[in-house]
This record gives sequence, C-alpha cells and structure tokens, in this order.
Amino acid sequence: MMSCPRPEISLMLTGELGHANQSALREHVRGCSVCRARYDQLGEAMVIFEGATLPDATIQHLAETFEPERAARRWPWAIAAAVLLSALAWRGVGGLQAPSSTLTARGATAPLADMRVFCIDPNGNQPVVVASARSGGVIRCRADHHLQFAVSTDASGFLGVYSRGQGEFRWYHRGQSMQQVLLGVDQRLPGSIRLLDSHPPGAYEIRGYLDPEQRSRHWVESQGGNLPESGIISRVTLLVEP
Amino acid sequence: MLENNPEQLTAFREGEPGVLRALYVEHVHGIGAILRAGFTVSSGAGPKRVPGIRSLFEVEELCQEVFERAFKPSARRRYDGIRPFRSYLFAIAKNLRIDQLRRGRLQIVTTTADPGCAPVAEQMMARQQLKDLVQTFVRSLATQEESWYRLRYRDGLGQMDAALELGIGRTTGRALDASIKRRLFAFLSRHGYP
Repeated sequence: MMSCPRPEISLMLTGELGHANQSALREHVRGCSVCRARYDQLGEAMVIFEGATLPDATIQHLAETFEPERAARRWPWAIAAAVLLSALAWRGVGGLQAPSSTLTARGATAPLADMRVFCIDPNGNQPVVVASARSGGVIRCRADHHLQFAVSTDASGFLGVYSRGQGEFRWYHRGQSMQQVLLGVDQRLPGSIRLLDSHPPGAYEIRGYLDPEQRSRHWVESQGGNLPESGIISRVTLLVEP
Repeated sequence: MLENNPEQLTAFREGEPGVLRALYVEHVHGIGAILRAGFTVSSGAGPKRVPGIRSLFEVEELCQEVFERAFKPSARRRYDGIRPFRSYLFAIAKNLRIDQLRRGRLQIVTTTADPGCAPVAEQMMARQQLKDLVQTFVRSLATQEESWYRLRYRDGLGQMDAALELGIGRTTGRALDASIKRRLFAFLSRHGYP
C-alpha cells in the first residue's frame, strides 16, 4: 500500500485526476492529516500562482458535484466510446461478438487510454518495428522479437501493463512498480521486453490497468484475475509464433 | 445573478444544475476568502473576532457545506430573491463557522485587534518567500506558457477562451496548464519547498 503523503495529491491541484479519482482521493485526505498537510502546502503555492483564493482545479471538481452532467461533457471521447461500445454490445446479443474495445470507456467521467504495442525485430543492423497494435487489436510476434509499449491517457494515474497466459503472470515494466502516466502526454514505457525465454509460443492477453494509486507488481499479481474492470483501460492480444 | 432576474430565480428554485454550478463558481472565492481571513460578529458583550481557517482543505470543505446547505430544496424555496445572494451565503458561512468552533470548544475571542487572529510574522514571511518563488517561476516561463498564464490567471479567461486566444485546442490548453503546474511543483521542490 502506498505510504502517505500520496504522490497523487499534486495531481488534484493540476486538474489531472478524473472526477471519480479526485473524489476518492478527497475522501482519503479528509481522514489523513499527513495528506491534508501536503495538500495545504501545495494548494497554497497554487493559489498564489493562480492569484485566487481557492485552487481552480478543486473548484472545477467541486462545482461538478452540483452539475454532474458537466463532468460527462468534459470527456466527450468517453461518451462517444461508451455509445459505440453500447451499440457493439447490443449487436453482440444478436450473435455478433463485440470485440474488446478499440477505445475502452471506463464510464462517462473516467479517463480513456490508447495503448500501443510494438513488435521489434532486434536482429538486423538496426532494430525494426515489424508489427504494431492498438487497444483492442491483435499483434503477432516471433519468439525472438521484443515488445515495446506506448500509452496516452486523458487522465493521470499509474499504469500497470501485465498479461496472463500459459498459466503465468507477466509484468511488462522494468521496475516492480506501476508507471506514472500524465494527462495528454504520449509516453513510451521504458525498456523493451525480450519474448524469448519468457513467452512460449501461444496467445496472451496484455492488459493496461490504470489506478489513481501507485501499486506494485506484487499487488497486481496478488489480485489474480480480479482487478476492477473499471481500471482496465486497454487489452491487446499477443500471438507469439515460433 | 439571481437578484432582479425572475427566470434565473425560478431555475434556482427548481434546482437547475447549470444555475447551481454557475452560482457556486461565482461565489465560492468570496466565501473562501471570508473563511480564510476570519470575521467579526456583534454580540451583547461587544464585537467578537472569529478566527480564520488555516487549512486550505478545510476551507474548501466548509465552502462545500455552505453551498450544499444553500442549495437544499427548502433553502432554495426560502431565498427571497431580493437580498443579495452573496450576503445570504455569507450568513450561512458565518453560522457554520461559529457552529464548527463551538463544536470544537474553541473560543471566539472578544477583541477588535487580537494578535492571536492575525497571521503571525513567521507565517507572513513564509508566505512572502513562497510568493517570491512563484514569481521567479512565472518569469521563467516560455513564450506560449507565459501567454497561457497571463490569459488564464491574470486576465481571468476560461480554458476554452484562453485556448482560442492562443490558437490551440482546449485539450492542448488543459495539457499545457497541467504541465506548467507540474513544473511549478518541481521548481518549488528543487528550492526546498515544501
């Protein structure tokens, strides 16, 4: 569990947490004197910067409690994607299987993410991208290829990329913790994953999980298949061929 | 907004969310300011000073309570639309603050010039140092960032209007805003704050 003060406190003041995450963190700050002290310190700087009495991001968030529909309007992609997904799900009832999303809506007020997976052939003079897939897609790689990831979200948080397949949990980060991702910043996950030795030929579902809190690999693994569906922002199917 | 505007008043009484939000945004800074600074109340024993709230988070929480109370259906019906809404909110804020102090068994002191209520020199100095640091940071902003800062926080434009002025999309504007603020925190951290 993350120790306090929580690093996401600063995101409350930069307006980078989605409405739901912001509410959850405020609830925590209410009962945590350490986080409240941190919030007060950073908030003081923010009101000086903005020349205001209260931080703008907080006012925007709290104002939405009086007009919840506005929160939905702030995330138009989410609405479009939610409508698209509803339509696909409805078609699924008629026998067509709805694909896992190209953009995964986490609810009208929740952030969206687009994760790209790249298959790299490291065997030539220069590493070459031989295949790529976005959220909801399928990527085929040879066992001697490497994987790389890039992600963009419209809310900040912590991203964990992992897969289950062939009976094992796999973690696609260099370190043992999730990677911080920032609103509007398209970023590459550091390092590349060598498939050889770690991915026998077969199918793997790679998932991107976004959490307002920093979590460890151990925490993600310990949840088994029970991570909250609302946090799964991306799924890509990886097919490893011999 | 509500005074002398029958349509808005009707929408307010009906709890129209857009009107409630607009009222909140219009008045929250004023309520926040009075709760932070403290205020004086009259009583039989002379004027009494109610101290301000030091914690920004607590100010925000009490502000929220003020508006939740003012926006209750019964309170909306009670508001006459004649006296200024701002005064109506101030009255709620003052009562809530006094109740809060009473619940916490804190004293409302009799004074006109109570040194315990004024910010002590040490706090003022700390705030001035922080202000100087923030100003140094603002002076270091690149051209586009400086324009955004001026439009948003000096000229008071909303995100949409500031983005239009700069010829960028609103999402880009939001990302720029967040990026500047992140760098502000990093800058402060490098200078030992907090």
